Amino acid sequence: MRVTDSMRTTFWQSNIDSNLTNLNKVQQELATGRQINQPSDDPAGTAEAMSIGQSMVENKQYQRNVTAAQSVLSTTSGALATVSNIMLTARQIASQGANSTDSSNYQALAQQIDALTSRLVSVSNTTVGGKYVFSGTNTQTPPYTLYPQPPAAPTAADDSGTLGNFPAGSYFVGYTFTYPNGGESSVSAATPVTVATTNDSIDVDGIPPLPAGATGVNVYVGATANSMTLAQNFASTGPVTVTTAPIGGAVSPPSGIPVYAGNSGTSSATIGPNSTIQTNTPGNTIFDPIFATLNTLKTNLLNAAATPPVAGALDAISAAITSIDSNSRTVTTTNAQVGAKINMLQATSQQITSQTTQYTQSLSNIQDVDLASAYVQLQSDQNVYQASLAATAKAFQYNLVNYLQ
Amino acid sequence: MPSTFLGISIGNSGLQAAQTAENVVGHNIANANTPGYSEQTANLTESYPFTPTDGQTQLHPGQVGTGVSVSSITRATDAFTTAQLRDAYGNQSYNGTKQSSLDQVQSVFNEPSTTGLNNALGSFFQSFQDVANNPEDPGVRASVIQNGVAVSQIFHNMAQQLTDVSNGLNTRLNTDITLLNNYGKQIASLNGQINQSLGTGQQPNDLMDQRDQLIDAVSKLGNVTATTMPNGMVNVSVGNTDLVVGIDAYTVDTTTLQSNHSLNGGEIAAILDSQTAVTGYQANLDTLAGQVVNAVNNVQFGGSDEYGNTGDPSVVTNTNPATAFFNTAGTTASTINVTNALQNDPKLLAASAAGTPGTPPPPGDGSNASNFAALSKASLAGLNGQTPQQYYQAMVSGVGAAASAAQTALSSASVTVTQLTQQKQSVTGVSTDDEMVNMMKYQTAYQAAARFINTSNSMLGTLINGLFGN
Repeated sequence: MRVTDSMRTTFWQSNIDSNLTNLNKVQQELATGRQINQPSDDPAGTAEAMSIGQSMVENKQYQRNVTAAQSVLSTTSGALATVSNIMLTARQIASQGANSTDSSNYQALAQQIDALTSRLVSVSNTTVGGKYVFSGTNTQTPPYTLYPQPPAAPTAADDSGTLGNFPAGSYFVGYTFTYPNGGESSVSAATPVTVATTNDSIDVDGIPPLPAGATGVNVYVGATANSMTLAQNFASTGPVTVTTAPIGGAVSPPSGIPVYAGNSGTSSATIGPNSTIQTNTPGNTIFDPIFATLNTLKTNLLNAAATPPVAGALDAISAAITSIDSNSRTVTTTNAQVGAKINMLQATSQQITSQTTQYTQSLSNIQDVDLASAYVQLQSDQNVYQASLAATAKAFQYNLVNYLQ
Repeated sequence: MPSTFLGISIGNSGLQAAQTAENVVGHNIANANTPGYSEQTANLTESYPFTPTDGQTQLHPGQVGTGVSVSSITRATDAFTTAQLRDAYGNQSYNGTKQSSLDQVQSVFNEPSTTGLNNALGSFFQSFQDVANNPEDPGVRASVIQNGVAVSQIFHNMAQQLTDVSNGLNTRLNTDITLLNNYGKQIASLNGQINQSLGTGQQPNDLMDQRDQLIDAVSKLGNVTATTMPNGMVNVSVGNTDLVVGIDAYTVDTTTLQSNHSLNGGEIAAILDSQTAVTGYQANLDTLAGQVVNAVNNVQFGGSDEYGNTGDPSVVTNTNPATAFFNTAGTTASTINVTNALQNDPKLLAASAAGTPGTPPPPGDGSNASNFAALSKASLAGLNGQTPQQYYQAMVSGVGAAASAAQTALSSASVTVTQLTQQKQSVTGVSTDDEMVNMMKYQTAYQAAARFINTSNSMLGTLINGLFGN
């Protein structure tokens, strides 16, 4: 083949170019640390890397979900353990009451039960991140409120039904009651009533009428519709017209059973593909029977303290011990379930972590440069490039012209 | 009987031929690096012989040569390789253009990365689980809505960039068509000049080189066919569309070029193909955006927001309808947008299960938020049964595969071009070594011819001085 000058320049140029392109590619890989810098570098690898990236985003979220679920469940578990302890104390009080012969003792025991009820209410109001854990999905409402003292001891009552001695302001009024068949409900007035002058009374006439036969009527008063507190407990068997019964007088110690204000809604966390776990524990199944038991116990302790003692009070106190045991079992069983969930979440968390490690590894295998081989390649490409430069410089040194005199 | 001065005349022809040949050598050396230059050769022939008659015998002993003449100066050509090279040029520029435009498309997708749409979509769907964990928290809702805004912005950017790529291709196409028509006019004009020169018996080598170079340039724009006619003119067609016939240049445009589906090489075909591809990617992206909008809105309408609004607002019987997550009118990549109402009030996010319209759901109910999150695993009929991310991943991988194929085709086409160029240059290129040898050859010939004239002259001198001397 005849070799011409332009042939040689094309030849050397194209070879230097392709050597430099190879060198540049290795340098780019080393600079970015990745062998897939754009999809065309490895279309299949790109799809795989994106899919793994997606799984990693998902896993990150699962881990967050697990952490959130863990914090709710451990708080729940702690609260339930406290409830168990309170129930132990309640059992001791009940057995003291059952075995005591000193009638003056009963009053003190009843007060201790009141204290326990109040502790239980505060335990039931346990929150995590501003959410009441025992309220079902009604997480912004405390599940139970302790019947408070009236805002001030009502001193005046009139026959039209008023509650006395309120600071000036606007008050919502409502009441809870028990239906004759045992179901509980509540009603409240649609519009607030106004107390113009401090120590004036609230007219409760605006309350809708109670159903016939309602019992256990409690009147609530509050500055807003959501913050009413118990003002008065009626012993009435309604309909309360509040005109006949005198209202007022201290109700002390507070009585009645705290009413569950939450719902039975459940919330769950997604902790894996197609895997969810219920995180909350609606409190009514646990606390409702306990409050009922404690209330019965207290009533019977007071009955036993009365002169003369109400008949059958002591037997009822003994019976309360059985109820307390049964309630405790419910609490323990629920706590065991919660504990099992916590254990499962720990395992899940570990699994997610190891899976993430694996994903990271695979992703690195797909898109990261193998440094050792890349360096070797870089060295080799550099050598080839330098050799081609040197050879090119030599190749054009000689020409017939050099030898013509 | 030959002329007494025949010897001097022969010597003179040798001098002139050597000089002409030396000039051709000089021209070759001067143009050794001129692109498109073909090596020229001075073709020497002995001039017409003279038949002398012997003075004594009156017989014809044989013909006596009268010297040398330069019959023609021709250029080295290799018609076969030239045609092959033009095909290779077409192939190379087709794949090169396709590769560069697909590269631009690839950079639009910006994958695999942690800032691309894949990650944004994933984070968007997954963050709904934070709402499921904490439906009471307005901050968590707001952050999900912001993730939706981020997704729509990425869609907007990609749509805009794809439009930019498409516009860039259009500009390039117009430039190429203008160039192609200019080349056509120049070739037609050169055809005329070459035809004239040939008519007067001249060999217009340099004009032919220029014309070849123009045809090479045309071959980079489209698959070219060049047919040399007996009159020396070259007819040029791109695909099956005539560009130059004789001294006439036809104005072509995209429509005429595409009219008979014969355009399959060169930059113009690559641009047209790339435009089709980009339009396809735009349509895919629009489909993806539209499906995400519909799927997310359907879940939104199926739940209840914090005020108890639920249901599709477009259904008139819904008394307290939910607010759409994405504007229902914006179902393309460039128009997808989170509704302003939702951005202004995160409580409008339907995180809870639908209940009685108008009745606020329990604040801790985040069950519908889980349905949003589940969309990341949902096979959507509008996406051929793929999840949004699967669809997008297949799309990116498809662009990558196309770009990679174009890259491979480009490097193989470039190798072919290099080889054929070598082959052509082997024939038509200038070798300075060859030229040096020729230069010495003609120099020696010139010196010898001069010496011959000198000798003839002294022979004549002998005659003249001998006869008339003393």
